[in-house]
Amino acid sequence: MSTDSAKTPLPFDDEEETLFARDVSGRLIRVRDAERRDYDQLVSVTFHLGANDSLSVKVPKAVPTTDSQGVPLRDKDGSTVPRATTIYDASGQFISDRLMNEYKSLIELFKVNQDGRGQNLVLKYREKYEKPKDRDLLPEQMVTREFIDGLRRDFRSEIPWLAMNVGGTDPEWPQKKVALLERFADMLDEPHPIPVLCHQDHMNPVAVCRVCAVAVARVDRTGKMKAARKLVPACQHRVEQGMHVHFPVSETREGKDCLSSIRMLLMMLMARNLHDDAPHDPLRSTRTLVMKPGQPIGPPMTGVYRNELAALARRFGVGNIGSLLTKTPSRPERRDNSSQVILVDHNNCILCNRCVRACNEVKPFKIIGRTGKGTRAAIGFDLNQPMADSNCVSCGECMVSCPTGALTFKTPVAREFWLEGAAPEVNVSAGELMRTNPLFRDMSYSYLKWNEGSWSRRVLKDGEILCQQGDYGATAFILEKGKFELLVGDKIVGTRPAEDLILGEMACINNQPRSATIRARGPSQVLEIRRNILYNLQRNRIARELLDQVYRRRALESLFRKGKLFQGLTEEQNRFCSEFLRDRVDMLHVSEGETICRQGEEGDACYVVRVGHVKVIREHEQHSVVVDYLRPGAYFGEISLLSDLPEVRKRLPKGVGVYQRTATCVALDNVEVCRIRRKDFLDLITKKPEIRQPLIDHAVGILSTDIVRMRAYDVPLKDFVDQGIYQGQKLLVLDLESCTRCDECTKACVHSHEDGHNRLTREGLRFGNFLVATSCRSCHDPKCLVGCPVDAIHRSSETGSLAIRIDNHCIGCGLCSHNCPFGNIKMSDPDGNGPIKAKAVTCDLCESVSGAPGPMCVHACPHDAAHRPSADQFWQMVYGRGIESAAQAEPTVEV
Amino acid sequence: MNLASSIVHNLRVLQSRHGYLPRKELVDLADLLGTPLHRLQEVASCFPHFRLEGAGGAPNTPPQLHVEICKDMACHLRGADKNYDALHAWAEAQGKTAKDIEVHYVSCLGRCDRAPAMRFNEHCYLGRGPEETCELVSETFAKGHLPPCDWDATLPRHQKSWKIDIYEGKTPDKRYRAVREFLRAYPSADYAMDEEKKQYQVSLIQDLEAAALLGMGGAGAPAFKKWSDVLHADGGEGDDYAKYIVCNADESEPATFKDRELLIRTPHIVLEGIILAGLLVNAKRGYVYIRHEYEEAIDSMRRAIREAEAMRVCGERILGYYRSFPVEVFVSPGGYICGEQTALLEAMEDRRAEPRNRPPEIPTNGLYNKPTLLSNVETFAWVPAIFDRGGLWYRNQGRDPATPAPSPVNLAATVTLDSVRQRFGGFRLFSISGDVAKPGVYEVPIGITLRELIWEYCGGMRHGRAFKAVAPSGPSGGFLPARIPTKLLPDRFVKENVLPGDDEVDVLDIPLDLNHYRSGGLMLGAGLVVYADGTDMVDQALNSLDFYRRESCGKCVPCRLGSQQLVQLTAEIIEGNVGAGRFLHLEPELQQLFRTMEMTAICGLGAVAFQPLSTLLKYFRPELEAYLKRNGG
Repeated sequence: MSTDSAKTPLPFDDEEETLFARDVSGRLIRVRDAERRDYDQLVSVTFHLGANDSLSVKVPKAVPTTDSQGVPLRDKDGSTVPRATTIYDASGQFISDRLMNEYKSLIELFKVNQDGRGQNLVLKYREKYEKPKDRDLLPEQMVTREFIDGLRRDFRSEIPWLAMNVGGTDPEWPQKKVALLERFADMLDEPHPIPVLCHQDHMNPVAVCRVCAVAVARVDRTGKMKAARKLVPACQHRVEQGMHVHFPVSETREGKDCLSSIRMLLMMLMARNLHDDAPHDPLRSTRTLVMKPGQPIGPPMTGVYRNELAALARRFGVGNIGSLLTKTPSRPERRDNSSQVILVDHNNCILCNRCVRACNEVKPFKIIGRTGKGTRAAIGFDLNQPMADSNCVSCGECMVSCPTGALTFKTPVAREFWLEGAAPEVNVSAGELMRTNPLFRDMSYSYLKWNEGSWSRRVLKDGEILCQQGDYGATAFILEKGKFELLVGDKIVGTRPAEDLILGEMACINNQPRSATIRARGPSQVLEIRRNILYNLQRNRIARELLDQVYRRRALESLFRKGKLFQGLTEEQNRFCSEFLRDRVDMLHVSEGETICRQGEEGDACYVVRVGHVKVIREHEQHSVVVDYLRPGAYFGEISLLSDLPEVRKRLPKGVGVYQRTATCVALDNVEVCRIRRKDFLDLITKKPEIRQPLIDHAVGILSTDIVRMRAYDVPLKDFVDQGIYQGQKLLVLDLESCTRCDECTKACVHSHEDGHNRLTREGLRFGNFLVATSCRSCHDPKCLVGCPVDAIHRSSETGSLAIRIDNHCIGCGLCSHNCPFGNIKMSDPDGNGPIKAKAVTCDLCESVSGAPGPMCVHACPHDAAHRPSADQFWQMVYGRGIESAAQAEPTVEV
Repeated sequence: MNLASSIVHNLRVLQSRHGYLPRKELVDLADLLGTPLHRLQEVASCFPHFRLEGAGGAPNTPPQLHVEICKDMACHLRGADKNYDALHAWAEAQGKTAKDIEVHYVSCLGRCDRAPAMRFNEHCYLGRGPEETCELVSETFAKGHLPPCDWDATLPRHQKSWKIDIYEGKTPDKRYRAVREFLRAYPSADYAMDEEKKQYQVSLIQDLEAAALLGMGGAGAPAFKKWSDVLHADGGEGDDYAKYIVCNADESEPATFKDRELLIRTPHIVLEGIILAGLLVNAKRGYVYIRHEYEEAIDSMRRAIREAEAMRVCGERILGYYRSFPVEVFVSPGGYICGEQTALLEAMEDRRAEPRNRPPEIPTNGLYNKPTLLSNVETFAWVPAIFDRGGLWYRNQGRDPATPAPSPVNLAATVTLDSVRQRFGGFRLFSISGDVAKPGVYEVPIGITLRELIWEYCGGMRHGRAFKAVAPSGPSGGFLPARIPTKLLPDRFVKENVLPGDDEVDVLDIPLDLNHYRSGGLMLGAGLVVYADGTDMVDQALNSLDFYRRESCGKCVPCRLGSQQLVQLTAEIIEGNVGAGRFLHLEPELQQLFRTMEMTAICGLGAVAFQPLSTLLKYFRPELEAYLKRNGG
């Protein structure tokens, strides 16, 4: 590559076009949005590490877009949404490929040296990770990355075991082996070769910080290597066929050019935005950064926040701002102290636009923008107002996104609430939590700090009860030490070791009552966390992967325990099956309204619902009927696991040889399902032939009852399901035959609550003679609870209560009100005090009203027209009969 | 473009109604447009034209008299500072408050030919010294209205006729001959394809290719290439189909004002070029993006569009053919960065004028992500002549090498007549200002020397002073000394152009040709500032560096922070805080900063913002060292 061309300056208003503007034939490329077909189009990109050290990788032209939790986004058809692959993405692939090559040569060496453990290693990891888990989600290239991620997670702990010498002929092999293993472990630990500051995987790249600058080149039509005139931003520049990349770790001239540019950029940013009082990250608090000779910056990293700028400076050995640059002093007037929740310190702001995108793209609030021009540019709230005067609801997303502590919390979320049982609580600081529990290691420190009141470490003695079956608990338990027994009634149904990571998360996520009592066996320790922390754990890539493993296993266990198909298997057989399938099944995240499987399609997988609700629709020629809905724990489609077996095939209703889905399943809310594929299941049967016959017997049994059940499906459930009535546990219904519209119910509601806000409106849907009034229904799965940034809304902690309660620390962001599909949460009028604009108000079944005999609306009705039935009771009231399938606690449907 | 829903347009309406943008009105506007408040703030705060506050910060009214003083290059050279100081002193002496008068600096107003330039409540007063300025202000307050201002149209013309205007001396009804001819030849947009070249056979493109017309904005990419790129680009199907023509008349680079003159003198020629482009690529609409300070140019172009519409050569059903191409003026909210093509499009799309990351390129993904032909005013203006007279006519218009230059040129003898002809063809316009007797816009054959330009066209140096330096491309190319040591020029350039034994090249003798300049590692733009002996080049460099700092949009780190650091360093040198020893120590880092800005800035602004300082180091080292020495070790 030559950089000669870079020497000639060009005027800026008519700059020459970029290197990859044209395709190889010289035609200008019209850039279009990525499409699904781009997943299959591979381009080859060559990364140069040294003058003679390069590696070509093949990457697809598009990769799936993910949300802030790293979960692939899906459109209405359930397909992933492609986005163009960038150089940054491709270099991730490069690292994976390089590790893969290294791994293979390591294995080869084990083989050559006849080291048995090495052979085992191959088998072990191949079984565990090489299996493409979810091919329709991930392009083939990504599978390698999954594998590498697996190695990263587990390989280190294998080293002592591998290092122990077994067999081998070369006497020097043991020593060599240790060196090789260590080298490989170091490689696994290497950070991404391209640094980023303004970029985050889930955001649209803006490429403003330029620290991801890389040198690109390609061979032109004459066969000459042609370099781009400028460095390009790897986070934003798309990959193109035949691209050559040098990045800051490259030992080439171009790589060094990148490196020195990046170091200068970091120095400029440090001179302007890294101040003595800048917050720092506790995990990386070992070294002191020196700004000018002899002048250390800040307290030696005892501070608080992860400062990505400081971290990058350390990584690239930029200890000070050098002798050229002038330091901009931190000025107090550049701090916006107006908000009671968040401190805005423009001194630290590097204008990376992450908060802007967090506020406008990740969250829907659209408050933060850029204001001013040039050196005066800054982030601004609304019309560049103080944060407290703007419409900001203090959701905290900007703070979580900020890489340099320009947006930091001021007041931690209050610790007022919950805690079940009597075990002593131990306060754990955010920093300590990150250091001591691997699940939290990669989380946003500022977020944890803000929410320090949302967890508590609890030390339990032998026999102490953690939670009671039947409680509506809003918390989950991260297991840290000891063992735990699960009791249903008085019967012990299982034991969980601390390696199981988590318990009680279903009650926390689904707001269902606890399905079992948890009791400590021996001295134990748990971390009780509130829902907001659990959500954040699940949006963290590392934590989510660890949790997903646990979830997969549990889904399988539940399937084998409850599934009708498996009732003929012994306990031991069940255990074998779930262990065999554990690493072969996948967790699918399905968004509201998406179709999981479609009537008439060939069924090739069975699904277990882990989270959320699924609507079952039978489509007729003219119309479609909602025949059922499924709750967590339910499963469907297990017949498709066996439909390839001749014994089953001949019993299939249509006799076409392919088992077609007999209904369509659509997610009613955010659903997580565990998918078991037929292919894997058949492998299982081959491996364990003795389970074949019992399975077939049960399948045949199910198929014969299925025909009977199909007839029973013609219940007109559509409105009931579509309008969400099925969710209700405490509907407010008015019998219109006796109701005189006297409005006593509304008056009672207003007068009984101290704040004087009414929580019901006498308007709504009609079913027969009944009106379903607008008032909180205490849904089975309250959508309002999802996403509250401070976990202020939750199910009442009183035993057996169904009420949705809103705590005083509500910040008035309006998310719950927005989330409630039935309009049952109102935002109270702003009281004009401080940053808190409004508060959410909803029916609490008069639990907060002292001395109330129950909901006052019912109590006050002079005509006995108001009732608070559950959905099933209501159905009974209207139609005089129960709903068979909808009322099942754990519905089972063969689709 | 729907004006009713355009943020930029609505802000301008509010500003003209209230004199600034009252917060309450902005809240109502956000409501009306259904847009978040911060979007209005983002746009309004990005363009200095919009005032977000009343006079003196809080009050509800704008100041009675709002004085803007241009401080760039020629105006700086001609004492803009003195006017600024004088006005402040006057205001203090008269007891005027911020409510009465507000005086501040602005970036180049594009009136460098009558420096220093000022605007009183958006009316230009040009070439007035401090006393005169104070008199004007007194008069304004005494009479309660502005005294007669200096219209651009009143400027005396040094060149009576321009070859670019093929209708000169003809009645207006003879205009748009090229459009008529083009439509006769191509009544529909289905062109035949030359299978071998994979090119549409359109004579206009062939003419542009033969003419070797280069983009006149600066970089000089061959015009035909851009035109054929847009022609080939996929504009979509059916209702989704669109391509656009945008004429870049933002002209905010200091020292550049040729487009202003073209738009005032020959708007019909510019418009005809735009219409030809629109018909050729089958564009849906054309826009002339003119900076808001060019009021007369805006009026002139709008008048030309109305006339053309009356002649039915523009708008719906042109000349009765089934071809339509409406053109309208888009008044730019202003700022140098809007001249950056992608930033210009961002501003048109109601966003902050911040450059886009490229690729994609504008010919395929331009305005509203549609194929867009975006060119400079002058590029469009040459098209009618080229189409009318043929590409070769233009090509052969270059400086005739047979006529020797009036003074010794040390071009190497190896340069043959043909190669010179090959190299230098065509005409172009230069804006020239600074220490010359007759600053202005000159149409010259490409390839004349600076010596010819100054002495043949501009009447020589002002007051007969000696030539010291030239800024060959506004501030973007930095400064060149009278004589450049050959050791600072590329070997190949020296070998081809300098007589053996010469160790210096006289800048006055280097032919003013873009590619020739580039082969010497130099930059040539459309605006030249000439400096006479006695000019403090360190001070001029600071002035230009400050321009870049003011005009950086702030999007990317290298430009936002780098431009600031360069100003700070240079100011410290002038203030006496940096000595020779310290400078020696920091110089390698300074070179790295230049390199980093050049290599990592998103757009060309950041990539050239260091040029004033880097050329100072390169060519005027002794002057800089005088400062450093004065400052001590």
